[in-house]
Amino acid sequence: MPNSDIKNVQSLLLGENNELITDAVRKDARNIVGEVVTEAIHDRQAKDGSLVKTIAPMMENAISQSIENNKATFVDAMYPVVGSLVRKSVSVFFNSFLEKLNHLIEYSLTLKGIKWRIAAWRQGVSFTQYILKQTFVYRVEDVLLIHKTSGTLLLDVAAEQSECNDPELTSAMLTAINDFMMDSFKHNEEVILDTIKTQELTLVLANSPKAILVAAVSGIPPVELQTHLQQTLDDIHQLYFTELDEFVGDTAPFIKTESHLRSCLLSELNQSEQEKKAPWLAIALLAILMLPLSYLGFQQWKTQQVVNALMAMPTTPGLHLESVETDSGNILLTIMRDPVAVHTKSWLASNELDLANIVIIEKRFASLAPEVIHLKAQKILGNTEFKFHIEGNELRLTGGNSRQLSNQLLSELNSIPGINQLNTAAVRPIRQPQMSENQAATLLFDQLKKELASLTITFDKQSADIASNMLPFVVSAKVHILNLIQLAKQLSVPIGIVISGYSDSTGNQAQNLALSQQRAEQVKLSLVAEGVPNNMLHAVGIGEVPFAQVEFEARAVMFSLISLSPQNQARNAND
Amino acid sequence: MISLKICLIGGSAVGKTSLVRRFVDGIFSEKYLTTIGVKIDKKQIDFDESAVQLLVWDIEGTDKFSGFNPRYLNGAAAYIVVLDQSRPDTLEDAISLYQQAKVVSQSPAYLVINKSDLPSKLTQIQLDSLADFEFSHVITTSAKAGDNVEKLFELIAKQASMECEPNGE
Ligand SMILES: Nc1nc2c(ncn2[C@@H]2O[C@H](COP(=O)(O)OP(=O)(O)O)[C@@H](O)[C@H]2O)c(=O)[nH]1
Ligand SMILES: [Mg+2]
Repeated sequence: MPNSDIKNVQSLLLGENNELITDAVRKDARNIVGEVVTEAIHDRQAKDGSLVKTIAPMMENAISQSIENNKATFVDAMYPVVGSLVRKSVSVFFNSFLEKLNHLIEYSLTLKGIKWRIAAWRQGVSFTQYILKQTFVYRVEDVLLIHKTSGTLLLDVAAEQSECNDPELTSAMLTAINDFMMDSFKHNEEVILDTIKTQELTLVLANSPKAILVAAVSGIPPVELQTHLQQTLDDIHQLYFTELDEFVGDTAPFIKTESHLRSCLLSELNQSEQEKKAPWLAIALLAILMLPLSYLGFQQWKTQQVVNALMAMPTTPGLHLESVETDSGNILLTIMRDPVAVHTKSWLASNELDLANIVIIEKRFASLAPEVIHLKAQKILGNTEFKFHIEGNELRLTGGNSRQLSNQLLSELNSIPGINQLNTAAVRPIRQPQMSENQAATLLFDQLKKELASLTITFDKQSADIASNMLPFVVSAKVHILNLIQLAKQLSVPIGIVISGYSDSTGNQAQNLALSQQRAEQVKLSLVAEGVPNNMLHAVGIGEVPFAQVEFEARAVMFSLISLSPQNQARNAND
Repeated sequence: MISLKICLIGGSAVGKTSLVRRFVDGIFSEKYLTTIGVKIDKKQIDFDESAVQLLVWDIEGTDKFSGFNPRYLNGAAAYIVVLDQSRPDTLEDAISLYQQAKVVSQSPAYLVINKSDLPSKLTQIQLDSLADFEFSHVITTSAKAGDNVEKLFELIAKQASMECEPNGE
């Protein structure tokens, strides 16, 4: 190789023009390094740990710069993670601040404040401690969900019978107060008040980046309330983040948060505290209020007299006194009454009882007393030529003729609880040429069907047991159903009986659904035990029925007959 | 329900509070109101098909010297700058406040020239200069006689609620 060539090669490799080769290497470097970079980093870190030391400050720098530039975005993203931490430190700061604020605004001038101060001083505890020692008797009157930046009320839910102050204005004012506070304490940006005292209420606040949840509380709210509010708001914040973020005035999407808000309508009555207070209260009252107290005693004595009189009252058929309780001067009278029996009030009046303080709770029941059965039959047959005689479960008709013996009349008699058999042997027969046997059967069928539908079996609260007072209705249902089955066969209409169970609307919805099913099943079971073919009965739980007026009527089982027309039958067969 | 926040700013005694008229009688005492310097009132505007609720924030003590807490404008769908036409110096206040507000809020601004029942002392030059500022609307009112007040809030409600139609495009 000539010398000059070597020189050329040398200069190519190492000399002035070495960029030729470095360029070539660089082109490939990315690939080469790329292939081993992960392993190399791992190896070096394993060897002397220098990597983390070098990179960490760079990372920290980058992150803090990035946060600085996109603060809001970061807060939103990190909120679910760090929310509770921030809250903790904020609440520590604000609790001490609030104490001062409350002191200034609320307690410094009011009579209550001065009284509490004196009491605290005498007990040798700090004012705050004294407040904490007070009974935690409270009620959440109103819960407000507020859009944070605009102060717009998104939804509010009030406790029952709560005299709610204008919630829209409350929301806006809260936000205004918060804006004001934030301006006055510039050093902490993510801070919001967590309680505000107004004349009548304490407002407990929970805070998230986009929304505020406020509970207006009468009495002294417990610390747990704030925690609960915060958890609820965190849930709402996560579920409705987009809606909150994009909110420009339309509050409709937030109607769905109602159940969340409702969960915050808490209240507590501290029993033990009340009991503890009672003797002191009684002594004070005794000393100062001798007169009113003796008046109270007299009232109590009077009440007891009425109770005694009630207990001693002679019973009357169709009425059954279940319980007598007294409650702050009132007498709660629980009574079972057959619909045809004498009215409770007239019964009381006829025994010369003063109705003023008596609260009557009536429960429906079917009396099997012979007098009541007689009365029912009398009512049905009163305007007819028939006479009747009842012996045991059998009602025997005399007089009249068979044309007067309408299906309606028969089925009405049949449905009297306690009557299981009708004896019409003594009724003078008259041929009824105008009506075919089938027509008559159809009429009776329709009549029985209607009556079955009007039968209701009611239940005690939270119970699926059939109370003994409901058994006659079950028997009546059985009689109806067996007759209907018989008639359906005769008319060749296939039928089925749907037994639907219901519950009232208090308590847990899912449990209520289960309970309504149990009720229906229970009725089905007893009907089967009474001899109704199992395959005719279909028990269905419907769940809650909001019958606020007559709560016990909602806890019920009802019957309906489904008849399949020939077409339906064919369709079903195809399924 | 559409619920909108509207703010009122302007020099003292131009008639902001009179424009809202009704006083706040919520659960907050006078103590709070005077301390934080905001009075809030509610006005419902009924249109044929819908209703819009305005929460009007009457921001007190705003003039060109003291300024105002810009947070009060947060989330406002619109704001109203008020001046008193019988006192020409209130125009300066109004413009200065408007410029401060524009920095923090992109919402539409309405200029209200109040006390139209009194003789105007604004010069034509002053009135012409208003065109340089991008007010959504300039409207003359009298809080005393009630002229144009309803119209002002209706206009704001209509325009602002159009902004929050779900699919505006
Ligand atoms: N003549 C007249 N007086 C007004 C009008 N609006 C307000 N005022 C009066 O101006 C004074 C200041 O009003 P106010 O609403 O308190 O102003 P603010 O400080 O902006 O809230 C009061 O005496 C009002 O009666 C108006 O339209 N015409
Ligand atoms: Mg004012």
